[in-house]
Amino acid sequence: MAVGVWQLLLDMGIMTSVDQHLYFQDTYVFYQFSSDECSYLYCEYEREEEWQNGVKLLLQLVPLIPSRAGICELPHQKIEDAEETRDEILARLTSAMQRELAAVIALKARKSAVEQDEETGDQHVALIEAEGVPESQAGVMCKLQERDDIGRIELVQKLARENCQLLQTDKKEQEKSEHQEDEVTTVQVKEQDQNVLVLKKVPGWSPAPTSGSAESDGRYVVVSGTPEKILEHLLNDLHLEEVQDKETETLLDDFLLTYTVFMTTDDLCQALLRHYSAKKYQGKEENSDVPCRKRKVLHLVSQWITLYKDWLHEDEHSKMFLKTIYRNVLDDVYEYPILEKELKEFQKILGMHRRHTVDEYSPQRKNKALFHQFSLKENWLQHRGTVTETEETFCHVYVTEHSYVSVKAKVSTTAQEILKIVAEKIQHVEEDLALVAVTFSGEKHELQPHDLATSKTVEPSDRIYVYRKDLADTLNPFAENEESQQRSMRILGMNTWDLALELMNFDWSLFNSIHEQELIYFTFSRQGNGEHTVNLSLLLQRCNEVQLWVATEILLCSQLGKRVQLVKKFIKIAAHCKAQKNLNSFFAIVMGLNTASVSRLSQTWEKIPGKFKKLFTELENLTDPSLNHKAYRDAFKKMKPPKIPFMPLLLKDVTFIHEGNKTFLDNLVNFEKLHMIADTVRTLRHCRTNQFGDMSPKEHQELKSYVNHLYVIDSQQALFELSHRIEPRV
Amino acid sequence: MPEQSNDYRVAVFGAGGVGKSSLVLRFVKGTFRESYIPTVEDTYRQVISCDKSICTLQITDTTGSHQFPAMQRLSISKGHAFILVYSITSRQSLEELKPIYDQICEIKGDVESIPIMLVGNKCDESPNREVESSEAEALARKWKCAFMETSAKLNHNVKELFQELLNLEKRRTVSLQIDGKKSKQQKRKEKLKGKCVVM
Repeated sequence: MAVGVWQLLLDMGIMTSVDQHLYFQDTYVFYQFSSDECSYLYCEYEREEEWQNGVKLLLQLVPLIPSRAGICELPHQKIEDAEETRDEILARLTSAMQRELAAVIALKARKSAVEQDEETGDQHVALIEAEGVPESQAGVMCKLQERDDIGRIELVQKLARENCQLLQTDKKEQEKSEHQEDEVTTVQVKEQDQNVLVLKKVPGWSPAPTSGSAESDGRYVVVSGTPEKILEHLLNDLHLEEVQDKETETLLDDFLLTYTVFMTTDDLCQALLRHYSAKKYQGKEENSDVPCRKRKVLHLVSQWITLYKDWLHEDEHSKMFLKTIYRNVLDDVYEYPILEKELKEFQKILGMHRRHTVDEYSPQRKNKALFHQFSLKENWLQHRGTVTETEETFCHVYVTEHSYVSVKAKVSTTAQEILKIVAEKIQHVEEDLALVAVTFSGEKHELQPHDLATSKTVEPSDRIYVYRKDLADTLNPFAENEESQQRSMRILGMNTWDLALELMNFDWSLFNSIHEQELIYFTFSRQGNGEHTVNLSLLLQRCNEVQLWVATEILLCSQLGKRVQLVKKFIKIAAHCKAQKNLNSFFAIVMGLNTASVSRLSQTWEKIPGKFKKLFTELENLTDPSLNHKAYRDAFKKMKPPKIPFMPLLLKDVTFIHEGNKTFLDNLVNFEKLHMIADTVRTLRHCRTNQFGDMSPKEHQELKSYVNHLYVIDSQQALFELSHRIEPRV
Repeated sequence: MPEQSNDYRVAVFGAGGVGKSSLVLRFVKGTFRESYIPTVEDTYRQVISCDKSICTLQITDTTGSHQFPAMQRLSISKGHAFILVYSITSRQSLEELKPIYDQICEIKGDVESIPIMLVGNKCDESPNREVESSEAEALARKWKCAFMETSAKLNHNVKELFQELLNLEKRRTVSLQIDGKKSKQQKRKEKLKGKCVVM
């Protein structure tokens, strides 16, 4: 009976066989609903009653169809009660299936009513004449009771949704999955005996029903596949409604975030163009499918642009691609007016970018580095021009061999500007000082006030020192003198909360500039010249510097009383950082206080009041690495965005995913891995969902420059020497 | 530093690509390069016996944190024992261990009482050998630590490595074997094992 129902659906063109079979077979062949009908959500058969009627109708029609006994392998079993059979069929069908089927039947019924049933009528007559009425085709039932058949129904359901082709379940795979978990079902799509796409059923998560097609009984996610098939699957899965289901949205995001790992931008452009302008689609195209597919491609493209921003405009391939596809849309919009909406959106996005292009000439344009593009599979963008004018770096101005002032500078910043900051920092008269570039071999040359501190005059391997003009040698800020006492007085006089706020402001600007792609690049490019991870490395550097800063400040303070004050101050700052959800600086400060050279200062720690010690222990517990920083993870999860994560840990996670999992499995892209990586990238996005306003109430220039340009000693050795000097070993 | 009673922490160091993670995975899970997800417990856990009671062996894999000296220092200061891994196919990877060893000395002070194991991994790839074992042995003598060659791939010397490391611990008795009364402890072990999620 069920075979009959399916055959009927097939004959009516509601369902089509994936490999163009004409007869329904209860074997490993798969069928899909014609896609045009699937996208309609309205359905007269939606209600239970209507559905029953629909099935009745189907069952009535079934006897009209001749048995194709030669093809269908029917067990010789008879089921007497048709009623029961129907119920059984109903029971077997998942609700999603029911809905899809109902929607399709309803539509078809309406259509054929209008269109006049010449064809179908003919067919029916022909059918009746042909062989008479086959009464006993209930055999399917027993087959349906097998597990894999249920799996297949779900598969058909999925197919209905995704319009996928050439599906074959692998029996072996099913058996294997049975061992693991009853629920796990793997589907492998094969082409010429090669797996090209592997899907896995996952239990449905939150059954938040979106307009009609929603379902809570499990979806399929991509396990692995060839780049082309993954793209194709993605395009099929896309809905054109406002709301995407969660899985598709994730798949789209995963794909766009990580495609550079397995295909070049050029490949993607070509593939998208192919999909866009394909005349026929698996040979059974109906007219309405064409604009539908075009819209899907356009939807993907606009998501892509949104995600990569100006990036796409800097790459020749994608620029060309955008032009081409835009022209295509302009052409097509006459034939398919429905594309108008996409065209407008497209124009909006492109227009936005044109405005951006104008902005490119404005001096305010920052973070050009953001849009550095790259692809790990291609080399053509390795040779971009040299650093752009506005690119920011940390310029290290060495005061002694092991200590430097870190100045966040643009490439266009002059030596004079930097000198001013440094002089301020080390509290020297600017006029007495000079910047000197020292080469690796020890050659020196003085930088003139208008030289650019980061340009050609200074090789990357050179160090910039600040010298006293009269001595032509390095300063000695470690000497016990008035100056060093002044230093600690300075920070002790600052408002702790404001100080933490400035730290937050600075970190936030760094954190906010990190492009999501930088994380992907960081993970997959091990040669790491850091070219494409500029903003990321700035934040990482900052984390290290803050940590060194804490140790430096404490160890440069030779008076015990002041030192105790300083330690207390830093404990408070750390607590404020946590309160302000700046976990990056929080970790850095706590680690700074935990540096061996600081934690050995027993005289200092003895004098810290119990209250502060207790607070510090609490803060320290948050940095406990046990169970992979469980304490931190739990605490961080509870914080609402905006928040700054402890970046090194995020990077460690992503490195673990990368090193622990292969990118390609049997020549297929291991998409599960890429999904995990994309998930980590999304953490970044989540942290930035709300933006901080400018939180520093009053413009506090002194505080700002104090926090932005840190003076640090970067040698553990030097720090230990200082530590032993102020509190000698007993 | 407050001592957490029931944990015995082992930190694994080494340059990228020497097989740190593989070694640890092989030890904890008995597999080689199976896919894994770093959600909560990347500090792998294994139940061991310590002073005749049960405690948890925590392994901290420092993969991916080399840009963060502070994080490495944290692992060192919290660690009880250390595994320094290089690949026998890369002299460079052996040389990169020197600063880490120095750091351990710096932070821990007296290293002679601390279990440290120098490990030459990938000994299955001896045609590409760059570091002779005699050479590494000499270095181990200089560093006053133990030495061993392993292959995570072939599961050669992996369990032995951890056993030897624990044998080096003189301040208490730690062992991979859990002996003594079975019933209760066994159950507890099973229970803990169930929770022993790698990564």
